[in-house]
Amino acid sequence: MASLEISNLSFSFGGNKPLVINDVSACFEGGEITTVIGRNGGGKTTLLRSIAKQLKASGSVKLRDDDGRPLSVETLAFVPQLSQVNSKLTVFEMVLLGLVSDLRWRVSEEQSQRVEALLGELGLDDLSRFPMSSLSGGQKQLVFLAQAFVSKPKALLLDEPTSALDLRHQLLVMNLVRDYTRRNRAATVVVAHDLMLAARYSDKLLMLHEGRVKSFAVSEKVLRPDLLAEVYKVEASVERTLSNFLTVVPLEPL
Amino acid sequence: MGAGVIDPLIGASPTPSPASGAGVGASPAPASDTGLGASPSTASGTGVGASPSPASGAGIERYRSLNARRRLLILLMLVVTLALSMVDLLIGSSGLTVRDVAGILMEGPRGESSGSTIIWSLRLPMTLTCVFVGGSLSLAGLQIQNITNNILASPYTLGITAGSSFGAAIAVTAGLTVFGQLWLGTIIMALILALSISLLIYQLGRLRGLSPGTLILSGIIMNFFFQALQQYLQYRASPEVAQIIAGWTFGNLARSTWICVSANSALLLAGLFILSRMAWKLTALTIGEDRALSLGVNVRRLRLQVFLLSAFMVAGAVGFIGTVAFVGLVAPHCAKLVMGEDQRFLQPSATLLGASLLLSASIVAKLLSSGSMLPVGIVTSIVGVPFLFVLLMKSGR
Repeated sequence: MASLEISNLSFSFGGNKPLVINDVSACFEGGEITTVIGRNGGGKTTLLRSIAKQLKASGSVKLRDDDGRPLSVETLAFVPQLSQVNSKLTVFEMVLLGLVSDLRWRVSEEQSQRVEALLGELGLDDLSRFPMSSLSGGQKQLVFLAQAFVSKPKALLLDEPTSALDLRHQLLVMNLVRDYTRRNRAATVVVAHDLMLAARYSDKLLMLHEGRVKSFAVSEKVLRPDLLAEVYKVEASVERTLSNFLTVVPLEPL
Repeated sequence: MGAGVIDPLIGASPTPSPASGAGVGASPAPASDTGLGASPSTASGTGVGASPSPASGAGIERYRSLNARRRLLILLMLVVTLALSMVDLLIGSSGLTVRDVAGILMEGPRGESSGSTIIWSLRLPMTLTCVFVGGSLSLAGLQIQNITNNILASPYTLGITAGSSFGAAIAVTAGLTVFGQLWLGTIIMALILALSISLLIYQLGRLRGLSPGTLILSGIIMNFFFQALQQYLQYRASPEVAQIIAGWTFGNLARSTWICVSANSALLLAGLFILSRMAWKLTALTIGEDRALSLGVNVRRLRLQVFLLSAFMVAGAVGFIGTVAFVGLVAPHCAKLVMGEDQRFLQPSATLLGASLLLSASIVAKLLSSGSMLPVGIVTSIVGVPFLFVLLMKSGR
């Protein structure tokens, strides 16, 4: 089973500045979704970017394939927050770019087929010829997911994948992420603010507080009123709905 | 195309049945639960990249036909460039007919007639200079727009051309020769200045993360600064030298020589070759630095390489014929308009459109002035300024 293991990751934006993430260690198992939660400025995105090697953090990141063999960290896929993309690239070209490190001048038949098949699987095939700039935010995010999936990464890092989306697209996106994670036994790490969505889709939650791991366990062990009070500075009630979803209702700021 | 038109397409996928709808919950959903497995290629709806499932082929076909159309357009641009080159070659005050020119070209450069001298020593170098300088400036402009993520950026609007022109003026004033050649000294000084300014902009961008507006303002400052320095040189120089320096501020094809043609063709071909090898990475950069980074592109190194390469191409153009404004702004935009963002097609088309634009400017310059040739840089400026204004309004929105 694939795994993504981080050990003692620390990062600061300057020599004298405080550590944004401080000695973070965790092992993310293949086939599981872990959601990183915590306050604004708590180091969530920095953690993701450090794992993706976009920031030079101290510590180590090890990615292993299903047989435990080490894989280059470059092979993991990182999907940044949804930002304005006014590119004239078509959806097909956009997904093809997910293979950028393998693309030669001539796109191979196999590469085209892979893009085509994936677009079909995600129900995006009818969009393939449209430019990115003409899509809605939700559609764009689906295309970015396809771009991440096309290289079949063994680890998937997603920074707030649903934060700008309507309810339906939130579910569509998270369903896709879950399906990909299960079927490819990928280690998936998501950053999210929506605690209920996080609880619903994640196998584990990693709560970051002031750059350190406050708790790393299954949802009900992390989403406790005492921890929420300490980290988010809110009084909250945590309950289960009839459909067995964990809900967090913030009551008062502390 | 509005988003609303497309939106139903995703809605076309089957929604989860009430029974499976609960699968959105905490437990792993059954394979068919995504509600997205709409297409025939996903009978199981399970793949999400897991196993290669047969593709329907419609998307590939559309992609192929789009690329076939792009190739056809490039061919068309090539034909237009060749046609404009012929027209440019034919126009002049010597009264040579089409048949004369064809005959002289067939005869080769060894012809002894005065017509042969006019074509082989004057007009052909000028026409070819138009092709290679226009192509170089446009290709450099395209890449500068790409790496700065700024639609207003170009060698001219960022001040690289002005600096390069000042470098050439220093060499001319000082009579700086390299291996006894003034043109070599001029080109080297133009290059040094072009490289320095490019590195300065690169560093400023790295340290301060220049916004598009700030970048253009710094270009304006750069332009003011180097123009002032150039005027100072003019003021101090002898009348003859002052005239040459003044001529450098607007590109003049009268300075074309076979050396100029060789140097600029070598720079353009080398540029095209190197950039073609980076085509996919440069395409990835068009969707934003963050995303290019997340796709594994070393953005910092790519930017630096492309900036330096562009500086070489700009210096080649400016060092020989002076400042030709706006070709590097107008032509890449036109290319993007018809080609999209795939750099494999965008690079050759921007090059050909740049060549065509400068050839057209040269033809207009010849038609407007019967005696001494109107500097082509004046024509490109007159066309370029309204274009820049439109872009400015567009980017401000």
